[in-house]
Amino acid sequence: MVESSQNENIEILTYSEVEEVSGYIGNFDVRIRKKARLVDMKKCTGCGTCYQKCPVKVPSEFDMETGMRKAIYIPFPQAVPNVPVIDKVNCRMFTKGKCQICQKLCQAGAVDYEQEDEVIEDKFGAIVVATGYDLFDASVYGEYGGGRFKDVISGLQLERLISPAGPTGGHILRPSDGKEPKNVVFIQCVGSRDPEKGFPYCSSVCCMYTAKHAVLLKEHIPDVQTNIFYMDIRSAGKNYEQFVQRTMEQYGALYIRGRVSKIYQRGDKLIVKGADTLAGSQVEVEADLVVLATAITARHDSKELAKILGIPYDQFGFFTELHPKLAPVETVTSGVFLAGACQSPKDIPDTVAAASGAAVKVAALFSGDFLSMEPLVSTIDTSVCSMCKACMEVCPYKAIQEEEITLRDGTRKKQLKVLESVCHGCGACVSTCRSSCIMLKGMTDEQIFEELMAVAL
Amino acid sequence: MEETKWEPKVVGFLCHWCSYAGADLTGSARMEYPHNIRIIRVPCSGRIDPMFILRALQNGLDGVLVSGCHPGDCHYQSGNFHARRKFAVTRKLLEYVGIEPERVQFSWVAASEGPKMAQVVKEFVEGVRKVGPNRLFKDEIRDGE
Amino acid sequence: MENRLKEEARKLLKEGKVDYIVGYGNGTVKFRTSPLITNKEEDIESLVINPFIANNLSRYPTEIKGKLGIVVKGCDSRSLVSLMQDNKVNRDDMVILGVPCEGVVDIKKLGEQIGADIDQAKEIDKEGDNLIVQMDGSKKTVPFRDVIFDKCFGCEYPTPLEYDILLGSEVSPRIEIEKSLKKIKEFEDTDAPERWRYWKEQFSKCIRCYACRNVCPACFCERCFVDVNIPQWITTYGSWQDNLVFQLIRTLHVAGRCSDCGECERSCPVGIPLRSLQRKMVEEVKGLFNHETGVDKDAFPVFTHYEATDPEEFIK
Repeated sequence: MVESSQNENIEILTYSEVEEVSGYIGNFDVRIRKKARLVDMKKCTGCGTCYQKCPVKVPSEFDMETGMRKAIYIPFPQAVPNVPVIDKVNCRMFTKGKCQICQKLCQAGAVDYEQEDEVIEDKFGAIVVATGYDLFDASVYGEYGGGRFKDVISGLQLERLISPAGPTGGHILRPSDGKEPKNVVFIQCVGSRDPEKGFPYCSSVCCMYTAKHAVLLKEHIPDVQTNIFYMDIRSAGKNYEQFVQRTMEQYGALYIRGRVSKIYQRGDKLIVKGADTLAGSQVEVEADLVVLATAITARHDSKELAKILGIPYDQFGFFTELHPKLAPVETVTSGVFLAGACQSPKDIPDTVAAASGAAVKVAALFSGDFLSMEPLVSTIDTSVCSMCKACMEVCPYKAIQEEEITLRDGTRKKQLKVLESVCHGCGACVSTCRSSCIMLKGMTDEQIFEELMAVAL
Repeated sequence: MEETKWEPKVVGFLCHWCSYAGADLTGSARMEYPHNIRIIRVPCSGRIDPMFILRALQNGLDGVLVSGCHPGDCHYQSGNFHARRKFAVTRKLLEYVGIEPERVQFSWVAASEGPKMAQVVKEFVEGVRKVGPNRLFKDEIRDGE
Repeated sequence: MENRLKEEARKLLKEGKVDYIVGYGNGTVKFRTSPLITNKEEDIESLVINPFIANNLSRYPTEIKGKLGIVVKGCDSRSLVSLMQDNKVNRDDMVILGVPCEGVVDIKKLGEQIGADIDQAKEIDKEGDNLIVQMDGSKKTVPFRDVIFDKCFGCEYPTPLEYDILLGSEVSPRIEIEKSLKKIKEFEDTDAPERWRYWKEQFSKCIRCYACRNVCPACFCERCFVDVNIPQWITTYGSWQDNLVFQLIRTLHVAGRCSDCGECERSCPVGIPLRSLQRKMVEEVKGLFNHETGVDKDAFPVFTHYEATDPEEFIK
């Protein structure tokens, strides 16, 4: 991120939202709302005095509520840009109308409570969608406590507890009483592969990060026992299977094939009851900490974004690629590309590969002087067009536009034209044109007529 | 001369993204549907002109099946919605002038609905078989017919 | 009404508000009217308004350049609105002179009623609900409602919906839709082969003169699909099969834009009941999409728009 932010050809707009996209490949008009962060990005030096002194503490979203942040904050220490944002909902200046501590302390005079949203309208040649994913809310699982137990956490929360930059400074301490857990239970497929309560798909990353967590736990706490309840171990990927084997053999992780039926509290322990389907027996584990491998879901607002961009999405809200095998990073809207988990659950290598693919697709697009398109596009015979403009109205891509030309005798004439770079070749205009003056190249009336005649023979 | 048994001959206009893929899936899944249908692939159900249907019937085909993506699933966003309006009135008009409704069938078949495609074609061909050979556009019956 | 029209038309021409007046004049055959299009003040005196003004003049604005003062009846005004939606005419280029219409006399029906060719009539006047026909030596009184076109019974909008100047007082609609649709309903109740045979017979008469197309205001295409020769969907010679297919496609093309003015049927020299097809489509479009041609100026053309909730019970 730091490297990207220093590249002169890259402008990073954080805390911003795309509101409207029009135009077409090579010529997108995009309206972006850059939300008011109430701190002047040009003046701020990133010294951090403001968030050290801010008196308001709220649970940190980035730390998955395992730690606290201030009302003026940067989400995590390495965040780019290193400029804080004021959380209007919790800031005392907005809840009580007084405080101004950060403004008074800011030597650069960067804090501006009056700052307003900025709307940027600009032209872009291509769009890469990399909006990521949301985490499944495991509280629908009553058997795992339904969110009641403090020590039942998600894999991402454990990730923060392990992180040296996390709320515990890299010491793994359980949330309820800050003790070091000695017996940890992992439950796989929470929300994944479960059409009843969650989703039918596999989230694809959990098997591997759970194995990683088991390894890290063992490295941090040498006398820890890890127990992993799993359905299947899906370790397809380079060196993945060997990693899982090492987790079992060298790091002593106990893999139990079966589901957990109930978790309940006894003293300061969590009792995890489940089945071991390989042994054909019931198991009960006394755990200090339970980690759920919660499913990857589409972003809650992915459908709205899809409508803005004019790209399709599946029933779960993941964006749909043009072709699952042959065009995995393109979308039906040419010029819009996909990268990462906004398309489907992906791990880091897959995301990097998809992002590289999308980046190269954009680079290839920009490198040419001409755009090569599918040859199936419409064309209008303007000499017989009666200008009823019905075709313009049915075109889903606004590929038909009115133009004014000068005839040889100097008079001006209005006529319609097809923007070939925008036309997708659906042919709706052709069947709508009553006088058949639009033709879809490669799928003309004549061709269909001949096919029909051959069939009717 | 012994008369050969009449078999219906019908044409299907299938959209490339859903119904054609659905028919393809029927084949790759080794499911069977009547061989009476000949398929013409079009990019979208919105491409289909009612003229195609009339022309097919005029040239002696016994039936016409038109199939596209389910509403909302159109690869081109709205093609099947426009088609649906067109087909709704076309169907009524053909029925009004006396063309048996069994001869013209519309359906939505998704790319994943191989079994549905087989079912639709089967039922359609059966319907056409019931109404018999298409003599609508034939001139008065001459000797030998 | 006629005097009011002359007065307004003269004023419009004199003040230069319009370049042409499009109205009705007396035809070459007695009691028939024909379109009168003029830019000369002296022609204004020839304008007429009487129960015989059958022509739908809304076709002319698509063909004449310049500002027009145009005379329209209820059905014609809806054609005009439909043409605006089709981007074919510009409202600002027209001064619409609306004629509230009590119905137009079908000369064939009148002939049947008086038992003679109407050329033999000396004079025909409308008095109240009757037509008084002066013949040689005799005088016949015919109830007006017995001689108007079938379409006029189903007319829900006899007063123009779009006008600048209304030449008379509003006429309340005749709600006798059942009477107007009687033939369609009866026809629908017959068997499919019966219906097919009927149309086959009718279209065997067709001489492909294209009067229906040329008179229809919705048929404004620069080139008709029937004249397309790559591919040649429809042959140019008149076989009943091709005649029928031509008319079916034309019916589908004007569906949703047809105001049921009945001009196609009136103009047909061989008497094919074309309005039966058109009227059927009017009913279907209204029933399926709740769309009536030219009633709502802001409505979208019916086949370039859609609703996600459109009926689809017929689709498997």
